[in-house]
Amino acid sequence: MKITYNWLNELIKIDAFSVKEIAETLGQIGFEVSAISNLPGDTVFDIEIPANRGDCLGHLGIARELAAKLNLVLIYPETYSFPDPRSVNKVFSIDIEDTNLCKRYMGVVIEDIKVGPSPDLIAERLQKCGLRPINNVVDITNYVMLETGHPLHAFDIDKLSGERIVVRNANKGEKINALDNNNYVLSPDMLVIADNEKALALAGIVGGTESSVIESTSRIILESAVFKLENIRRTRQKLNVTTESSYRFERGSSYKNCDFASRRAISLITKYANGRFVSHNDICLPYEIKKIVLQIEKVNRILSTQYQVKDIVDALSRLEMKTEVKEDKIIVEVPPYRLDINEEIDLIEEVVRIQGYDTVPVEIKTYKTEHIIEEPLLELERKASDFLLAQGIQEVINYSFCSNKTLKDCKINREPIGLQNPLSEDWTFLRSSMLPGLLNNVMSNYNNTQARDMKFFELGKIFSTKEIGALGIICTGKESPEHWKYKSEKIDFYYISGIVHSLLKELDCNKWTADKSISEYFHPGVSAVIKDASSNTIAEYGLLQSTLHPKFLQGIYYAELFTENIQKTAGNDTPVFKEYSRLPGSKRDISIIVPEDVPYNRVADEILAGKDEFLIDISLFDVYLGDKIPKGKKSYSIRFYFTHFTRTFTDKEINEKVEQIIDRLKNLGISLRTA
Amino acid sequence: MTEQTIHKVSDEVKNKIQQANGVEEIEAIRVEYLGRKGTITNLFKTLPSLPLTKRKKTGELLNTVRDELQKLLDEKSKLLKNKSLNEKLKSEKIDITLPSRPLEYLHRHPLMQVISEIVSIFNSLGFQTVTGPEIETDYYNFETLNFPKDHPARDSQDTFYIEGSSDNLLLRTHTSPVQVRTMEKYKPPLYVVVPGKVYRRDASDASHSAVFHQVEGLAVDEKITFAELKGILTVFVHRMFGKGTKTRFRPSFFPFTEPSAEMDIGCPMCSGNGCRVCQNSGWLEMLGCGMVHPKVFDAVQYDREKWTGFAFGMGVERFAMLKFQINEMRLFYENDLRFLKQF
Repeated sequence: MKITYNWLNELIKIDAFSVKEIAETLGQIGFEVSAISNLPGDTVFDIEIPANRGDCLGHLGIARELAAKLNLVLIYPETYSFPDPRSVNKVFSIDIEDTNLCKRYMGVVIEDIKVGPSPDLIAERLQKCGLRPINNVVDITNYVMLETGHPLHAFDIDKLSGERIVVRNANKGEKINALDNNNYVLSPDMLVIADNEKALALAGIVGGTESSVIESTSRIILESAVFKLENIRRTRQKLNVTTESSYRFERGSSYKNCDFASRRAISLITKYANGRFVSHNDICLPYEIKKIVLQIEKVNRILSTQYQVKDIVDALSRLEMKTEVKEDKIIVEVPPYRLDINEEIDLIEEVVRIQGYDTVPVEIKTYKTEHIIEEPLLELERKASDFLLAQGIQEVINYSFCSNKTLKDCKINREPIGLQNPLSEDWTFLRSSMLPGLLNNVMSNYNNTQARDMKFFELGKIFSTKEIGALGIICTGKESPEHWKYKSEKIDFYYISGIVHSLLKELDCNKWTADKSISEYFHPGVSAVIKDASSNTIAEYGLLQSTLHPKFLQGIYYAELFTENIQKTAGNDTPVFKEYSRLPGSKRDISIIVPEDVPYNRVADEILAGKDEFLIDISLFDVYLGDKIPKGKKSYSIRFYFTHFTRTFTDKEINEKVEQIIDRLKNLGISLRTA
Repeated sequence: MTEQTIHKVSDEVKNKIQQANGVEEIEAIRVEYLGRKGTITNLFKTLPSLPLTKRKKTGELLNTVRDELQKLLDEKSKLLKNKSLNEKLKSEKIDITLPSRPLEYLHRHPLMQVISEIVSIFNSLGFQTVTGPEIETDYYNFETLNFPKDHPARDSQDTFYIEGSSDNLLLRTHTSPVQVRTMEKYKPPLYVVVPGKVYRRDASDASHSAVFHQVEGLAVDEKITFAELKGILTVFVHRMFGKGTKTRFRPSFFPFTEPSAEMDIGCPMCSGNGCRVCQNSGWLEMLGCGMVHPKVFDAVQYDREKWTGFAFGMGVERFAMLKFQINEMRLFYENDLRFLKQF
């Protein structure tokens, strides 16, 4: 909000302070000055007013705060004093139909008005505060709003149907032609100011063109009212309109300011528009004066300060609060315009705000929680990221949004969660997979730098009917950076499966079974899914369908892991030491011919099915498909490790063991490969 | 055999040793003179034919000469071996400046680095880490935090609502709902720190992002004071930005704290002298904080007369931008490798 130095100086004498000092003082009491503009002969402060300080949306409010902090006297501007109502014979009729939405309505009839340009002082001040001068009457209503923070409105009486103002709910579909050149269609939850026939203004938000004050106007009714702030806010949100008036009303208006602003405007209209006060009608609902009990001890207990009673009373009095000390308590009467002060703690803040936040000492203590709060997912995520970073995989963070098109392009079937009010077309959904973001990272890096070797991971939430913890990994190109000596392998399925399997092992997640993935974004023959005993998916990984990235002609491998499911399956397995043989043991290599459709895991399972306690490990060291073996077959070369605890095996014993294994493998159509 | 003969042989050998250039030559000399059929060995064999009177003296002389030659041979052999080793080492050279093998151990995303730095400072001060959901209810995100419906306080928290939830489900606009969730779950005393992702319906620009990260802190105990809030944040700032960092607290407004404050720090870039980063003010706005509002205690059924507490919350992006001198917030989410590899 814009506040001018000269105007302030009229309300409190601040000549003795520099612009910088005033700005700093405002900051110290919670009004941050975001910009200072130096104009010829004046300075304009741009001040950020907290959302709960509707009373400070005018020069008077800011002057009052400065006066309190700097201990200055506030000079109230000149106002009109209403005559004894009994001396007024003709009163304009006012009815409030919805007393819940309007608590006070003052209608003042002023006649003999001469509409014309405003005096320079008023016009200039409006312009400095960002308002456009229109004519003296309209300008005075705006001027008083900028001064008191209370919006006013003036209607041309001669444009009204009947000498009556009614504050009522809008009729369904009722229309108003507003001063902001918009036609609004209203609904019954909205409040209007009307005459006998039509809506004249959208209460507290914007006036209508028909009854507005123009050059020919000579009689007006000046409105000053108190509207329910929630309703003003709802209405202006629905109609998507914000005005100087609605901005102030939705931050609260008060009985007191309502009256003050009205009398201030009468005084100015009389002075600058030749106006003559005729009558006033004031419908005011009963209100209570807020009184709060402040326990003196509590102030210093919460702040850890050493204020005396007089310090507390002084701070509150400077803010126009009436105080009465009663033993260990202070009874505080809150000024009606302070809508933000409702309980004891609010008063404590006022005391420390005026005394200064620097009067609170700095106390350093150490703390200890008694609760054992466990966040197993955090620990799992930390382990996972450590592991992946050690594999040279870069962490990324993407926005959590995506479009329906992206999800479709990525062939993601998982039901996404939509946003009611997305920021853009590209962000209509919450991501239901890590894939769109990670794929985009590959594409944009390729487009930006022609990079072809990339490995990324992202940890975070995905959303599909609920929030799900996920880890996405994407990789393409070479496994490690190019080097003059060490040649890097191309990333393939066994790289991504290696990452997934080793990671799961690192996370103590060892009880799972692998199967073919059915996710459409994967190549059906080069992908897998891992599930736990209850068929919850732990991970999916494989080669992405090339149709997902038509402009990038290189295989991209992707893995998605579900951290909550991993965490559920993961045992907290502390390794238990197993005695091992101190003897060297024996190795034996054999090559076998295997039917092409028998997967390796069946072969390995069959080898280990013999449960030979001396066979401690096997490893596959060669896979061959080609001319040297019959069609429809493949060859595996497997190394067997045998160890005995107390002696070494003879060749004969090893041969027997291997023969037994080969015998069993015959069931799978496997035979020994002879050289 | 005369002594003269022995001396002559000795001189001959010494001369040869001196001239020898290789270990093989030395070994050849050793064989020629001291070997089984060597000249010196043969001289020993003639000893018995000498008269007894001469035999002893000549024998002693032969022994001395043999030992001396043996020693000379050993020395020269060692010398030559060292020489050839040195020559070999000298000749075996590689370019040690060629790029070494790239074993990549990467670092976390810069935002994650900053989060873990902040969190670990508070962990060390006795605050335990907790987390909460990103899809929240209006109740936890606003209502219990004293943001009434239709109140302009909600303007500062422009909210994304979940489709079909009639404004009940939303993307949390701050990590503060976790305060309430934690208080509902545990009784005081309570000291927690909450890192997490939050959402505001702000168009992205150099200093705004619709998705960003916060770290929140909450302490509830008997007799927690505003002075302690200043204390803990001062310690935090000193650890994060250095011991001499100045702090300043200004009144502010957050519905869920009262009194509320904004903490500024003396600009670490210019030591408070004024620069582009702090817009010549010497101060940087760092975080919001305050004493837990009694209404929040009411919402979680804590006795508002018994317990007091403080809370604070900070934007991670802002800290990261300051720490790494980054002037554009969107860079964190573009994930360009030229950016990410720098941290």
